[in-house]
Amino acid sequence: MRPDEETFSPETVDEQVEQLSRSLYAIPSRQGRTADAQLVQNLRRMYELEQEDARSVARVQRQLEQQGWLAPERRRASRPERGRRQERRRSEPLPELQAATYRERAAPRQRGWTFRLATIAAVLLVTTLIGGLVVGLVLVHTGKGSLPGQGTATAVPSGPTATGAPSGPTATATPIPLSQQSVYVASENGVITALNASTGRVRWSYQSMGQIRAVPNHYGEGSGLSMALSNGVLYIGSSAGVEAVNTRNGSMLWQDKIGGGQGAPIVRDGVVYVDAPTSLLALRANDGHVLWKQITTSAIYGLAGVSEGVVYVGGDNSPNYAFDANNGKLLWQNMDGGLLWGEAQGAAYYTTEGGGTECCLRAINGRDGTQRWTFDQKHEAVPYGFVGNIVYTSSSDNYFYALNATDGSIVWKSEDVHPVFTLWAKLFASFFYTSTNQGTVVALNPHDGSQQWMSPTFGNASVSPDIENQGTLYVSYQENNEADGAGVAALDVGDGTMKWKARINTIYFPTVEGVINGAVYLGTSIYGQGTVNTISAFSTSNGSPLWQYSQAGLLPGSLID
Amino acid sequence: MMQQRPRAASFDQASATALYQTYAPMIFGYLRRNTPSREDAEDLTLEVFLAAFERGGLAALPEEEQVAWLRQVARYKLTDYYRRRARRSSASLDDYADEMEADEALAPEHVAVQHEEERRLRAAVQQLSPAQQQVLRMRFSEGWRTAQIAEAVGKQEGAVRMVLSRALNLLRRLYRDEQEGGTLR
Repeated sequence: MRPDEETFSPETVDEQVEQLSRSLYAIPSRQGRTADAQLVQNLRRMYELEQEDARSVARVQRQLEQQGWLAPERRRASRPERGRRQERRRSEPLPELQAATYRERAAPRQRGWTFRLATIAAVLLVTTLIGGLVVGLVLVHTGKGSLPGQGTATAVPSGPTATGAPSGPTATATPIPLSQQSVYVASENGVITALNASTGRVRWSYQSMGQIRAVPNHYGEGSGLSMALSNGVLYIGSSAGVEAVNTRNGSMLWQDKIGGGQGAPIVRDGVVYVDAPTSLLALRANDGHVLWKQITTSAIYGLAGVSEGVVYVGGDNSPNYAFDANNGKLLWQNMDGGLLWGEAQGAAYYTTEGGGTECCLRAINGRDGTQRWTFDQKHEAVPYGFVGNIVYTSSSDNYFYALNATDGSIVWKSEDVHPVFTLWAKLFASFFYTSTNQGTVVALNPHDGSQQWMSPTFGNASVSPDIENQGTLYVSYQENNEADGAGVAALDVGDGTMKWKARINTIYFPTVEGVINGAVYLGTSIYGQGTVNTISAFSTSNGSPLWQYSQAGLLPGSLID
Repeated sequence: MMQQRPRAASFDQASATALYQTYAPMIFGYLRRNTPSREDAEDLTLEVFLAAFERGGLAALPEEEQVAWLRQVARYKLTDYYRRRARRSSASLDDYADEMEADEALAPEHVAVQHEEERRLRAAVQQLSPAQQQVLRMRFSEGWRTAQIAEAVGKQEGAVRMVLSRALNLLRRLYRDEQEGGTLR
């Protein structure tokens, strides 16, 4: 009998289903299974996931009940849960579980092994994806040209729609003057691809000697890649070391197998700063010659910045270091850890979460590591930008603050714009933009914090002010119903009116990657195994789609020159 | 020991429970689809509802605004999660090479295919009639045979067999149509 060639009949449907189920055991691999066997398998899996979801919702409900938020509910005995982890989790005393949850999120420096294990578990999922692609892959360096057989991604004309403006022809039919600029993307298996900025076509591909990492952009906005562009050279920080690639043709200029760090290289004044697992290196940008190398006493988690002759290194739940940029001399180390958000005015800015006695925003003097000031012992605060002697920061009390970088005193406190959580905020030359929980963008005057305008709503969805360019603010947004997609919109920086709005089909929150010469680039940026990320180009004049590039395993983020 | 938490003119336990039971599956589903682990999705779901219950005034809003608020906060929490996760430490790939090699199910291409199939199947199932969906659920979720399903729903076994076979045939056609590039109506 070939069950997939027959219809399911009322008389034998039970037997057919059971026969197909048995065949799953006989053929554990997908290859060789019939389509109907796979259908049965997928149906079982789908309902199994639903049950797991229901158990998860019930677990959270029990925690809320324990805290007194929900009325206790009598439950019938549930079926045994699968897996040791679930059993362990279920058997844990709920108050302790709850406390652990909040310790993990609220006090990074108290996390210790609990946090490390949780982090490793999370990272395992990501690295498994990377590793899965890498296992068995011969790491071959190519000098120039495309890599045969590397990936299946192709630039294709996209079908997104633009609203608020007449739709235009696709870029493949209407070339726009984007000169020879490129958009650089990377996949988890270490292949960097240069796309023609005007057409999305692949210019060249380059196989790096290790895996590329997705790292946050400065101040945590969006996502980025462990790469840097400078003077026609692409500097790649991979799991194996650092490489320099000619952006014109993808040829390798030099490489150094120093081991993999966690952050993106930083290029300043002809020097490439790059981190390795337990060291920081400065290399000459021209030829990769090692200018100095500094060994650290513990693992470091990426470069945070180079400013005023100081290289800041650090990461969450780890010591933060400051080195002299000229000779690599260790200036100071801060064993408290915390998130290092940036540096300005000769100071580094750290945050640790939580209220009470936890410090929330601290300014540390760059040269000696002494504490300059502390802001707001009661609220979480996140700095979003620095201009002159002013530090702009959000606070969990739903206000924005401008702080004097010298002493931390409050220069102004914003009007109440009621952002539920200030996760999207950007400081540009003229305005400080943030999003609200009503799905709008609010522009604040950076001189006094007064509200200048509020944009139209984006369907009550999340919005992110990402890029300001020539009088236009480009914001990424996600519709309230994720199935309705997401997109990019152009707002007039003068009054917040919407010039156009363009949509892509994705359930992921997108990020505006960059704007150049008439094109704005929108990337989806989600981390996860096998995620298909995309980068889409739209005309800046009316939002009409130009091209879209998508690929399984594409890392979030891109570089645009 | 249950703890009573102070709350400022917001939800009483009954209304909070109703809100949770109605919308937690939706919020959790959204977070689950966008996080790599079930545990993380649970933590984020907890955070979303804690924020809701701790927020004064939310209870006074119309239900549709409460839902919009929950969805919005879920997005913010998710964004915050990824921002912080991206900043945190990584681990050496070598530490996990054995596990990765041992578990083909975690291979990225396998996971990607599986996610896509799940999405397509879910969409196809949603096109079935409520009765067909109910019988499918009992057959594949509970593992009941048609006789047991018939007893549970108070129908003739023959009728249940008819519903199940039609559902599977329809599902197979819908499922295959889309696999072959067709569209589902």
